Amino acid sequence: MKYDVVVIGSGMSGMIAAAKAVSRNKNTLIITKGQGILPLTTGCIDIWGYQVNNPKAPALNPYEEIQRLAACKPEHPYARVLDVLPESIDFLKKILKNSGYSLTGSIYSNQKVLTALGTERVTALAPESMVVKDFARLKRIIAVGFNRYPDFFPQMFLDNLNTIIPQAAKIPVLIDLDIKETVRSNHLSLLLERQDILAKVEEQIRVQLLQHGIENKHYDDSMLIVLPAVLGKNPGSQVAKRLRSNFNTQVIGVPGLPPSIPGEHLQQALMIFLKRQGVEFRHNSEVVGDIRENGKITYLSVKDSTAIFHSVEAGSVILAAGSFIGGGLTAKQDSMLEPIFKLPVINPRHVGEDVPFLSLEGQGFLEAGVEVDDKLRPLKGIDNLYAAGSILAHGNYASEKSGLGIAVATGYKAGSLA
Amino acid sequence: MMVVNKTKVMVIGGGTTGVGIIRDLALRGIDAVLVEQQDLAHGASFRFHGLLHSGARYAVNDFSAAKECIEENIILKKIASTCINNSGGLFVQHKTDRDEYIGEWLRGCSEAGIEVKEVSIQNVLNENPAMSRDLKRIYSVPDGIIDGARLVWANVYQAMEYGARVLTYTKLSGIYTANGKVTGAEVINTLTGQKSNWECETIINAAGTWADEVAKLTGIELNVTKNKGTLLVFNQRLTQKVVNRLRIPDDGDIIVPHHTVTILGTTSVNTDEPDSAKPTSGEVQILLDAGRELFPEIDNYRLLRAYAGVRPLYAGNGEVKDDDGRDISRDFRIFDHAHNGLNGFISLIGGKLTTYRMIAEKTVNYVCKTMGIKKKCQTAEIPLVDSKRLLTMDGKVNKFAVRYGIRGEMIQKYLQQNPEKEITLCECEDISFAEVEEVASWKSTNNLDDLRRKTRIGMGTCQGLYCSFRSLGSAWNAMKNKPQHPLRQLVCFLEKRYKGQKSVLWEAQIKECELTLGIYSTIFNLERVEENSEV
Ligand SMILES: Cc1cc2nc3c(=O)[nH]c(=O)nc-3n(C[C@H](O)[C@H](O)[C@H](O)COP(=O)(O)OP(=O)(O)OC[C@H]3O[C@@H](n4cnc5c(N)ncnc54)[C@H](O)[C@@H]3O)c2cc1C
Repeated sequence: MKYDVVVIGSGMSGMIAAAKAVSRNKNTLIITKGQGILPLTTGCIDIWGYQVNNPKAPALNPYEEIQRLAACKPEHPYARVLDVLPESIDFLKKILKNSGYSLTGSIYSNQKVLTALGTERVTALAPESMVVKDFARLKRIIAVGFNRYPDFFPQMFLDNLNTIIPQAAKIPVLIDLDIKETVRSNHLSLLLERQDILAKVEEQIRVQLLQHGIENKHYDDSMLIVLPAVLGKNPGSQVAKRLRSNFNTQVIGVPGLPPSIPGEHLQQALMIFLKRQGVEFRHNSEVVGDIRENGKITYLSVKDSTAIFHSVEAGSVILAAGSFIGGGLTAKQDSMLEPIFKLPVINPRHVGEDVPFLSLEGQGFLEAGVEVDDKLRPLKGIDNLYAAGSILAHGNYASEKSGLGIAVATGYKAGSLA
Repeated sequence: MMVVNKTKVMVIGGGTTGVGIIRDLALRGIDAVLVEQQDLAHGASFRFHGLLHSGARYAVNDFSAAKECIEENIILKKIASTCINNSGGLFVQHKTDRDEYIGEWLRGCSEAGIEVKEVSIQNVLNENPAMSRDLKRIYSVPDGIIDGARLVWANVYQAMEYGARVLTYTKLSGIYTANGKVTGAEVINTLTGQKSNWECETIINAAGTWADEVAKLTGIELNVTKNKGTLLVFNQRLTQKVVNRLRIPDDGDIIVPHHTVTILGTTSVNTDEPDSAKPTSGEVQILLDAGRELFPEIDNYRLLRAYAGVRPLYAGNGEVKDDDGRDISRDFRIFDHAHNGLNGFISLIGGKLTTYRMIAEKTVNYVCKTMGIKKKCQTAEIPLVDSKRLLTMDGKVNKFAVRYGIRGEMIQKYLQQNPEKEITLCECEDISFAEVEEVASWKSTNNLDDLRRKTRIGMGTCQGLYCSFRSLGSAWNAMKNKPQHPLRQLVCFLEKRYKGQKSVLWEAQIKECELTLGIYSTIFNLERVEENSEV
């Protein structure tokens, strides 16, 4: 059978592209090798973090910054999608809501989210379970760690927080769930869904706080209880809400080392939506090449998990295969490639550059990728191929804080055109 | 007022040579202190190949070196067994290697007392299927694999137990003399800037690549050739034994499996900048080209990192033969600067890791003679970790004693008190929370990078992706009281790990690097923390 639109990749860009295409009544298929970066992310949608003219200062309004960016860097992926930018973010919020998941925030302002390291990150949309009402009014911060859980360290979190929220008293708490092996994020998030376990956690927090002279009467909105971001396994989980209402304080889960439960929530919510809309999936399948006729791709060649090859007939194709992690780009000793269509890959900043690993200008290799025109078409001469997400050249998601924002906006536009 | 400390002998330099000397002095009961400008083993001793030479490599070109190597090889396997994997080594002749060399080589080995046996190519290929089919002959030799960092620390822990003092991040800044004789030294703590004075009778300059700078403090010129060697680290064990190329020593001749990785090296080029020696992409290519002849699939193995070490070579008496330094004997020389009119100041240049104990013995023998001390060397008899401590109650080898020498006991104790800390912190190298937390609390651990050299966190596949965050977090209370701000330590750690990956950023390694950036830049926003606060 023939699909109107075939999307390669099931990261954020591929899923949004498919969602948009299916909303236009296109018969849509996603072919995907792996899961993409989404389950590793914090679950926050970064759109644009810092000011174009002063990369040390947080951007107050990402949308305005991106307009400024487009004026001075017309090759940036955002410059190709200015026309649909706010609309694409609304679209994302709408489909998430449809799956019972919600993100707070908008494209017109940024917010600050605390991390498991005790640093703050700037982002546009965040899961409710990460949002703190007002840093300045916090009087007490309680950081809750778990015995044999290797990825959250209350004292480190609290000490680093001193530069961000100096006024609040800070108290570490350690929960013992009496488990004799390493507890991983996935396991912990499942455990916390259980009423009895959650009650045990609550109880231990209260007892330990009492030892610090904190009694029930102190529990109010100026108190923030911080756990690692493991507050429930499912996207619609009520764990954070339950803790909030039981304690009558603010409660958040802070993102840290992958795998990330909030990242998985986002992925699951999108997946639920797509399946409901009738988008088809071929998981564990890799697109390895194509057949062209008269300047159009007609068939994709697909290798499935048992190494059997199939061909898939496509009306148009959206390449959303990601950067190096996803496999949309690969690097050899002396060159970079786009392995499916052999599109030219440009590496704009390379040539002997020597910047520190962590720096404001970011690592050059993240800016490598394929170049596209205003319709997100990478190749002159192929009319029905579009590219979206981190495979695009010239963006630098790590230093710009723009990853999922670019994926949403370019995916949306590709899905509108394909 | 500056405090004045007293000792008899001060040793400069915390590489294998320096720690060998401090151990030797301590075992003879001579009061001594060692100062090292950075962490121990930060110079060549940690950035080397990990090969315990049998001497076979030198059998043709440097007979005395070959002899010394095999003698020390046997001694070290006895006294430093915890730091050595007695794997054995192979010398393989590729079809492009000259036959004439073999006769000479066999003769050299036999005269030096190196046990060589021809082995069946088929058997070797069965055990090491990744090896080339283009091999003509293979010989086995008693090479071994040695963990440089463990060796250094094991020497130091024992020396300290015998009363020696060891000061890391301490740089010699001045030498006091009176009447043509050393009377003391001024040292400076490189982390705090604090200075202190020492009275001493003898200073032994074992500063390796930096030995000329040390000598210059007294106005004495010392000729040290600095020779850079680049090595590649692969993410798996390509062989079980050390593999050497059976030919006149050249680039990329030696392949050493090490813990979970394999190290291929080395190149050889003289350099003027020992502090900033970096592998070049040309060197990486040279090594891959050489490695490909023995391991045809080498380009398909995941390359973790490339690094460069600098060897100090003796270059006196116009013995230098050519530009790449390989023809200079790497044997060591003792210089008594009494010849320059300064008594009590001795410099050492050269030497190999395999012969570090013997160099120390000869040096300390000499120093004893000049100081009129009559005490016998015991370093060849007393093991670094005695069997009582090495074996558990039920006769098994105690893994903490292997990793941490006599300090393994402290880890054991910490674990008994905190049994929940048995869980794994670093999956790549199988290191527990207990190890990291205990080692972090030691005074000689000043930052995450020091912790890495002692525990091997960050050395495996993930190159610190998970374990740098976890180490900092679990040992937070110790790490936050170190001289360097803990987040600064984290940034430096990641930077150093990146430095090694930079010249091999392709295939799987660029993904790993993107992931590390995703975590520390995208998730933790670490580059901005740095900019905005006074860390
Ligand atoms: C650790 C980490 C944390 C991050 N955190 C955040 C965050 O909190 N907020 C944020 O906004 N951004 C974050 N980012 C950046 C952001 O995640 C990425 O920019 C974004 O997810 C890219 O999405 P994508 O759809 O373009 O690519 P990907 O998510 O990489 O998806 C590519 C997909 O293509 C598939 N694929 C590749 N080749 C083929 C083929 N030949 N055939 C079939 N399928 C193929 C892959 O399997 C995968 O499913 C983070 C990045 C990292 C690395």
